[in-house]
Amino acid sequence: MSSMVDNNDFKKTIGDILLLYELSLAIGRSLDLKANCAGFLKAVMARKNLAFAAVWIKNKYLPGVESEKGASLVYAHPDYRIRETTLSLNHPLFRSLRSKNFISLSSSDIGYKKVITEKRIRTGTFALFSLDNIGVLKLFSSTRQERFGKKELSQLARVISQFTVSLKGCFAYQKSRWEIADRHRAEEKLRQERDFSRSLLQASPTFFVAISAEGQTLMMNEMMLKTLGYTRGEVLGTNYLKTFVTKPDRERIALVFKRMAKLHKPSTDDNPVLTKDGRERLLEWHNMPMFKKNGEFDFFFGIGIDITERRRMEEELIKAGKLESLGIMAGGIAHDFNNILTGILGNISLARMEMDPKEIVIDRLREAEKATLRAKNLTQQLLTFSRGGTPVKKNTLITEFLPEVIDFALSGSNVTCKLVIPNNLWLVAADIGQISQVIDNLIINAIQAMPEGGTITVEAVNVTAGDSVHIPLKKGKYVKLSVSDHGIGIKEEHLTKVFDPFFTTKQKGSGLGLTSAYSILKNHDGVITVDSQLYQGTTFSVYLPASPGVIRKKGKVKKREFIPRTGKILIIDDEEVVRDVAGRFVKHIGYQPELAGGGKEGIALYETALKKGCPYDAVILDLTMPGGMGGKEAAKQIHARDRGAKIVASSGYSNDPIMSNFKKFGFDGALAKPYQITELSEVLEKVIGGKKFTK
Amino acid sequence: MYLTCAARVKFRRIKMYLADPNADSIIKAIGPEGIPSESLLLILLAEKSRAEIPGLIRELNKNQINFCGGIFPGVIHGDKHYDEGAVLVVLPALENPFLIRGLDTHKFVLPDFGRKIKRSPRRKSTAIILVDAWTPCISLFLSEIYNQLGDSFRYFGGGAGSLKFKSKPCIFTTDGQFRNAALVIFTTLKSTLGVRHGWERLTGPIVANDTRNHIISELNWARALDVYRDSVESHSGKKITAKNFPQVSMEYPFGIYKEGNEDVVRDPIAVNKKGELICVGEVPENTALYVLHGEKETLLEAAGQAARDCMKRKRKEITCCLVADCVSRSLFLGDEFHEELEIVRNVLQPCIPHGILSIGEIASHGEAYLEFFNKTIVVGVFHG
Repeated sequence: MSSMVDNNDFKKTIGDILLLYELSLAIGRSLDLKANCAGFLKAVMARKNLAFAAVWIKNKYLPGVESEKGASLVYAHPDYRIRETTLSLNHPLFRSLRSKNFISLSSSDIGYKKVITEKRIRTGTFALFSLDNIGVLKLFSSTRQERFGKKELSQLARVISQFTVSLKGCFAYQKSRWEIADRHRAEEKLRQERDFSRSLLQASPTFFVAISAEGQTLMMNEMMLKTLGYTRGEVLGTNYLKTFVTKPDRERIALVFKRMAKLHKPSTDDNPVLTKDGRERLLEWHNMPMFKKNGEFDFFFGIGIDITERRRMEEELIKAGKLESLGIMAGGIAHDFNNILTGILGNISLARMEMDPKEIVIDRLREAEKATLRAKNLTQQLLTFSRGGTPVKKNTLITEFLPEVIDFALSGSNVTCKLVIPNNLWLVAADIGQISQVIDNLIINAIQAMPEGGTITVEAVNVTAGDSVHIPLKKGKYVKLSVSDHGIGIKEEHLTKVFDPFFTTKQKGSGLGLTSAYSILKNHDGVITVDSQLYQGTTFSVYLPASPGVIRKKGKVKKREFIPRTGKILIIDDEEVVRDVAGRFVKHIGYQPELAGGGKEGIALYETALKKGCPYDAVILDLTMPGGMGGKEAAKQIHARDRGAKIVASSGYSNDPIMSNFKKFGFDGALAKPYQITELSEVLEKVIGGKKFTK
Repeated sequence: MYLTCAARVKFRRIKMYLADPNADSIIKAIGPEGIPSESLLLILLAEKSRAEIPGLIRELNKNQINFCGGIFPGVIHGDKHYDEGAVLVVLPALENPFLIRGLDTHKFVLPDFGRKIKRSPRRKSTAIILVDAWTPCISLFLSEIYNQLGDSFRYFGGGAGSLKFKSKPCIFTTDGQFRNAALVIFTTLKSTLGVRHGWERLTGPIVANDTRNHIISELNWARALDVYRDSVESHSGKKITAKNFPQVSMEYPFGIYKEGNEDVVRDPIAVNKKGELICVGEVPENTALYVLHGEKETLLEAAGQAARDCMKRKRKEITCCLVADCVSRSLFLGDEFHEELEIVRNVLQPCIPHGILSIGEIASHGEAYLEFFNKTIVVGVFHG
């Protein structure tokens, strides 16, 4: 009997060992948590005939769980019974194992119902095992009514402790996988950001460059490479200062870099960079020092904006501003000069009229008059330059004024002129004064190019644009006038600049003559070109559109005379010398002058005359009377009182739009200062018509 | 023989066994009214009548009869078993039967039964499971079923297929015939099950230290055949060869320890060239096995006990009795197999048992775990 018992015990022990052997080998067959649990627990359930198994783990041991409080159900079989998936650590399931490794509760035990966290469990027995304080293993048998035996629990506890180790391995594996996945995600994000940044850098119209602490070029974006004319291979590793910075700026830029690295501060700077072919581009640099995580300086990063064109435009604007200021000043001077010349010319004319023609001094007066007229031309040039000047065009033959202009320009020089003019030269519609100014400038330049003397050739010819003429002109007929010298010539690099304002190679030159010529030709819808060979000579060619019109036949030049008349003329001018001369002229013609020093005074006189019933026959009104009522306003006021008033506009600004189109502005005539008595008489004759002076 | 099905639905007299199970005979057996609504016709077909299947499926579909079934080595009717013909069972169904395919890999997908079964099951209703016995993932399949449904159902069923060890289409529904598949039929009937085999430990334990699903490569760290041969030859008095292996091994199955119950039998039915033993159903690695042996008396005693186990309910409540008896028991008992069926019938009378000679048996083992058994008799008494 006892041997049978022993035999049975032996068999039982063998059975237990083999069961534990099978269960031990079922542990840790996968690093996946669920597969690991399934492999072990399904074997336990099959051998122990269990209805349910579950693994609860405290959240603080679970990788990837947000809340560290409480515990989560990480495995259960069958899923069918799952009710709770999270529990507080104060739950009886955990409290029951606080001081124990394992415990068994049957349905007759008090704590049995409290540990039920599943569906459809009423009677049966639980075996609960602590998983090394990281969680709880729960086994349930629906067929047992008695608790699991201590020996059985002990046996299972041994393998379950190994199972716990395998769970920790699963957690570590899972954590490392997540960390790897996180790292991959971060790397991918970084790569995307880097690719994006790289794309931005490369696609940006701004310059980007990175320079090492040693001054080597680490990176240069596509825009900068392209603008400077380099390939990436050519720039990487080069000494930045030596390759890209102009020599005068190297030391300064080097200091800027040093200061940035030392003070950890960005800097802004404008400095040129050198292109591969040696040209310069001006850049506005925004530089920053970049540092490693440990605070050590890493490299310089520069963002550059190409301001070459912007700076050029700024300079152009400044020049244009200067030019405009100069123009305004020139216009002002010209205006004042014209007033003064009115006085000079007027008094000379009066003196000539009052003297005996046989008097020797008459010649002197005649020369003085000529000089005054030349001075008038000069102020005309100034005005043309200052405002561009709308040309007052007339159909004319260049040959009519060309010889005089040439003679005048050549006078006093050791240069002669050869004039080549065909008989069938076309007419041009031109402002004679302005074109004369152009020719005068060209002749003077030619003279200055031949300080030892020589011959200037002036040639005129008919041309048609688009045929043999390859210059930027609209299709049509033109008269080409060339002025050629065989002087020192113009350097090739200067040829594109000769028409720029203030450009001059002369020591004493304003640099405005050719600029003015260019402007005049442009206003005539023509063009001026230059062709030059160094040390061989220069030819300037002027193209003027041919005019289909006819020229009034020149018969006898009608000598301007004044026609004696009678009547009252009101002269309104703020310049006393002009009032005086004009008054004398008017009187000499036969009219009775009355003088007013400003608009208000003039209007008052006009009103008085109207009231008295003896209005003025005409008014000579200065357009520019600074400080008081202007000429336009005065004219308006006079017309308001007398619609039939005859008003002649007078101005030192001969290119004032009113002067060229007086009728449009409500005037009856225009008189450009300085004027001679004959001009005054003609204008008054046209305006008043009328009463002859009878002695 | 007629059986009265006292189901809660309308009951009608239906002939349970048909010797010639063609479409006409089945339709005639059902009668002009057909089967009740929310019912299912379960056709358990003996292998020799396999040829009838295509015509059956076609004609039964034409007649809009809701059916499904399996092909088995034999069928049981009362105390007799047949290798041709069919047993018909009308069952009140919770839902149309579920066909699960692809059981030859671990990637098969179970339907979400909880959502699909629209009618609420009564407590301890029964799920009848028929599975291709030669598919490799039976244990995993049953584990997944249990995972979803737990012990909310009682389980009864068996392995279908041919004894020729070849996988053939052995599961059929209104959609056709299938292999590597299983049928799960949820019936409203409750059941009480008896699961016994009567095989007793001869030698052991032996550790199956190297296995692959249903193939044992090594026993006790040696070639499986060699260890098995050493364990069995002396008792059997026969020299085991590859050729006579099935005949010898039929008497010497393995038993897997299961606490509180008889060992779960694993039947080695063949040996391959590597000396690996091929079993019906998976053998978990590192399992301790015992070599079992049975005698007629122990088997018959087990069969009677199985029937007694499920007769706890009062007889007037019994709707029908189904039996899944392992075909290897019939082979082992030979001409005396009918005694087993007689014992079962006698215990169950007046209820006449019907069922299958199966290749492996499926049942809830007690209240718990769903197992795949070999060389076992499962008796199920169904209540309305």
